[in-house]
Amino acid sequence: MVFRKPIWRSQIAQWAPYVITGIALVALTPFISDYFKYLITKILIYAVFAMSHNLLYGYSGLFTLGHAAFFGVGGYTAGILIIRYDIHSFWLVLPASILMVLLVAAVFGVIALQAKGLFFLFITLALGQLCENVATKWRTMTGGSNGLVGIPYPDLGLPGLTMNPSYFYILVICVFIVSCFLLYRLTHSPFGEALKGIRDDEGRMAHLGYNTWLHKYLVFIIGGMFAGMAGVLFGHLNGIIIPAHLGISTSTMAMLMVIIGGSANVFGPAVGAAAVTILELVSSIYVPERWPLILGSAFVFVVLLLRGGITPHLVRLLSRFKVFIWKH
Amino acid sequence: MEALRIEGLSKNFGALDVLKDISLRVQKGEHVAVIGPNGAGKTTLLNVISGELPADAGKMHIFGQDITGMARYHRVHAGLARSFQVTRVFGSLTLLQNTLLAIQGMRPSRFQMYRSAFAYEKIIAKAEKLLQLLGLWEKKDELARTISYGEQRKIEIALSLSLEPKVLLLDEPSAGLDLGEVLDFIELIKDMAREKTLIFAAHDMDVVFGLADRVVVLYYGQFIADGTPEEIKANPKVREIYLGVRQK
Repeated sequence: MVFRKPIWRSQIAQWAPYVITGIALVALTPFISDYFKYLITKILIYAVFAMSHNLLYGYSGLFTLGHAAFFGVGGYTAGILIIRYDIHSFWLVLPASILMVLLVAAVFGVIALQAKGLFFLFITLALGQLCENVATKWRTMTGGSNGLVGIPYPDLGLPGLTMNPSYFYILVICVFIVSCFLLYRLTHSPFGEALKGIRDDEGRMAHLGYNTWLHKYLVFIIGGMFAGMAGVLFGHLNGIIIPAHLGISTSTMAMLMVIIGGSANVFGPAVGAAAVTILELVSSIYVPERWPLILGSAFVFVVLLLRGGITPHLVRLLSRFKVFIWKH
Repeated sequence: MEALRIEGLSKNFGALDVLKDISLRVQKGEHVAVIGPNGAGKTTLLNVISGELPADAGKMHIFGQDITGMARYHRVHAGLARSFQVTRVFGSLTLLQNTLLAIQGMRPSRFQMYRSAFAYEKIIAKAEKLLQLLGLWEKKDELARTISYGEQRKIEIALSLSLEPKVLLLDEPSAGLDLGEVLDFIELIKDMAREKTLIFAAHDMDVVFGLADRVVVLYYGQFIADGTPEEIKANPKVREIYLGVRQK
């Protein structure tokens, strides 16, 4: 067989990137300040969110502007369970939040996937705004426009472990690595290949025996679940979740991360998340009131001069210096 | 055995009747060419049979199974595949990915989300065989949009054939190919679709007489002639449509 490599070698090649990235990030823990841990944690959470957006946008051709709805529903569900219902165990809060997102995505998917292209975009936008409005109006539950304040770090229920920025940082690294792995597998599976086919020509896929609607529906829900998981962690990190996390501003941010990072592979959006978050930090130090202008300029710059996002250009640059050892 | 039965099929676009009460019976293994001048309704006929467009009236059966109201992908699973006049391959995917998609389309593994698509040895072997047959195995890692038009045409047909359909519809299989390519192409299709029921729309008489053992003539939404290629060649009505009537 053409594709056969020795099994142990292909196994190592398969796991090495994840293990190396994970160990490298964890190894940093003692050497960086809490603020940097916060920053990297935020980047990794946004990375999961952006990668889940890219699953829809880059891989399936579903251009959504309502993806933050799932991010926010995840965050809000976790926050409400902890603050209103006093359920603290992370092992209950996370699955319950993801389940909630699954239900929301299952309903939204039925509605939004009635349409295609631009109309799909508008319906997802409307559904996202709907969620934002619900969160603003339902004061007793969501805290209204002040948001849900005072979400603590997750309680992992491990004896002798008090959650602090370092442990939370490691937890997020684990989630990030597992998400990367799962998303990589998904996009290279037969299901993922079918998504790429649907992106290229949905009608042709129907004539090859694919129920394209079902494929899109499933990926819409799966993408939503990853976004919801990112939302849960985001709530824990910031301690607060506000209605804007459900609406268009957050959806647009994910979209910009995907476009700036590059949508052609699974990890591009993670690069985009890092770029946008670091840019936001720098601008907040020097010119905080010009942040939207800077983000907009970065977007225009990438679209005009770095077609396809930062990642492909970065890979090309690094491979010129033979730095890159593995390629995806 | 009747492979395809069409009864009283009609289709209109607003006031324009494109297909008027069409009936057609195709036996298993027959190669039927649908010919007719531009605008006769050939592509519409194939679109209605394949489910691209809904029929306004009439019934369609494949091997006795009613497919009239079926979704497109259901028809594929019932054994009906088609190709397109305008090449529709997956441009941003490699040739290997293109063929894998088509082979996977009939299998439950198309919902598999974890295992690599390239780890299915039987499917890879089948894709390899197919690409070898087309002479494109060396180019398996090239993107479909970067190969030549003639090669894309081959992939277009191959995608449909790799579904192993019982009935295959080809819309202008040789569209846009030059004369030398057409002859090779006819041989290729003959080779690959030997035992299949084939219904194809064509303009090019080389293709019609090279492939068909039965020809039906569609003219403004109705069949006006039906017979062997020789009978159709000699049919005065067909000559009139294609060549015009001598002015007296």
